[in-house]
Amino acid sequence: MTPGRTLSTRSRRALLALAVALAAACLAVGTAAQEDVRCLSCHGKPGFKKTLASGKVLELFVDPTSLRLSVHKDKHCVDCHADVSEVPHPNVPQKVNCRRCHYSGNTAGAPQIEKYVEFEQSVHGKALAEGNTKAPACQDCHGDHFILPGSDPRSEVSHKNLPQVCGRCHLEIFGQYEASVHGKALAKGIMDAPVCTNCHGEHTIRKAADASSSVNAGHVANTCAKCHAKVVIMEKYGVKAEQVATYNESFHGIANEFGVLTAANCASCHTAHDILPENDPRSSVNAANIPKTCGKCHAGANANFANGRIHINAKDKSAGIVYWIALGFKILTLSTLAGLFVHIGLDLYRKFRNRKAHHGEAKP
Amino acid sequence: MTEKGTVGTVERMTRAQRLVHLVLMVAILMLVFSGLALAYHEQGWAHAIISLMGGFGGRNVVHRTGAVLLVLVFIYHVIATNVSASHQRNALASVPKPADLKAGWATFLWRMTGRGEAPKYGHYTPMQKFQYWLIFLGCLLMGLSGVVLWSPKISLELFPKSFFDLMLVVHSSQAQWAFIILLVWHLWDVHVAGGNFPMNPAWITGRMREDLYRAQHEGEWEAMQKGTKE
Repeated sequence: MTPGRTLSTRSRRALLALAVALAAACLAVGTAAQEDVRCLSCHGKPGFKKTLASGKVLELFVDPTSLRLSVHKDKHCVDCHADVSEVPHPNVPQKVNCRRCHYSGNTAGAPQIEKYVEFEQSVHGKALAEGNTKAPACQDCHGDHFILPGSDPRSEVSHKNLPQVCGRCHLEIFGQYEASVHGKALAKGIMDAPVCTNCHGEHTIRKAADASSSVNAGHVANTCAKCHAKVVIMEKYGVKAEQVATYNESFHGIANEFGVLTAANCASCHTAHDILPENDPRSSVNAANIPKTCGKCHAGANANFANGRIHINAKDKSAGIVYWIALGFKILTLSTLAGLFVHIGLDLYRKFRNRKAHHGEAKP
Repeated sequence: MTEKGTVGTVERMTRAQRLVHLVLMVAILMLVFSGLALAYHEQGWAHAIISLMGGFGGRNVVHRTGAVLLVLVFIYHVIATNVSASHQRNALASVPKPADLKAGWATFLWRMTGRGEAPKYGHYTPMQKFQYWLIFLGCLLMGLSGVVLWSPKISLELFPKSFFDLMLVVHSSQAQWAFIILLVWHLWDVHVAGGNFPMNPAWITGRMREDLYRAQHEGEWEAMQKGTKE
């Protein structure tokens, strides 16, 4: 288009269409916003609730600012509560389905990544699909109106808050976790401490019996190793990072590596949720409790099991006599090898010299 | 060697000795392969060996079968050397004497300097005696530590965990040392040294070529010639 030239008829029509579309969009937003006001005329009243026939009380108050502060700040009530069109509602409004927007290729720009899909294969997703009404859907963990990214400390699924979310259903385990070394560290604000999802996965949570679960007997050692093999993390808390390697070198570790899942893994001795330091008398690995802990597999285990170190590193002086014997044999083996090479070398040398001498004699 | 066909042979190993050697060899091969695979479990070849043995459980079976064979052949050997006359002669010949130290030193000097005559050895060379006693004591120590490791449940009922760890490091370290001696020294001796290349056939046929026997055990050869003359 050259400057100064008037718009063609076709261009004018296109612009008109665009203007109409924009106006319609503005109107739609306007109506949705107006509807929010309608919804809030009841749901905006603090204490608004309904008692069901079953006696269960539904808290129906919604703080409108919570949505405005969330990632869904530009959304309106009916964007998610799409089945609500009349007031009062003729049918009980259904639970919101997040997949209305969170599907791959959606035009709303709602994030959709692999891990949302993984949820369907998870223990929660499967239970939900089977019609278990107690199984959690997205909003049961992420919250309903005040959804924030996990990186936001105010988010329900932030590192610090997550155990309480899982604990809403998994009460007993939450109690164990809170009292454990990991739970106590988290309470102190140590963000290196693992929460539920660090071991169990987020959307991939599977039953421990499932071979693909991160907490399956075949994967526990690798799951713990994600943190426990890292010197930079472990040295901050005075825990030895070599415990992973010493386990991998032990009979239990080697058997586990070759698929013998009855062999002990980290959790077999340290427990999964009750993990406590060795010097805590309640710890499963406290010397007084070792016979009982080992006895889970080795029936009749006695105090001898506690008489010695479990994670022994033969390559370190802390192993005591084991270190010195290993070192002694290493020196002996290497010097034997060197001695044998000298022995063989001398044998060949003499043979070579004698052959040369015989050759010399044969020639005049 | 043109006169090869005409060279006679001399008996080196009796039928019973060959059988013992065969069982010992099979047992040690089973133990070495399954044991090294455990000690070097993170290596690819170790994984190959263990899967070849039918997994971790299969490896245990191979190692323990080898162990039983070794213990049986060791017990047989100890009883036979005390009961049978021919075994006793061999046992006496294998007893280390101060002369062996001298002969060993003489061998070293001769190989270094070439001065004088090559040392003459009896039925067993000083090196063979040394290897025999290393393996004999090795079997004892490997057997004892192996018994402790066999059942952690029983051994931990009797001994502290630290003793178990001690037996484990002794077992695995000593095994690798013995393996080096057998692999380098014994195989060199019977396949290469003393004109044996490609192999001294005595462990199969029981017999050795007369000229090689004479070269390797000249002291005994001379005594035998005297014996036949008298």
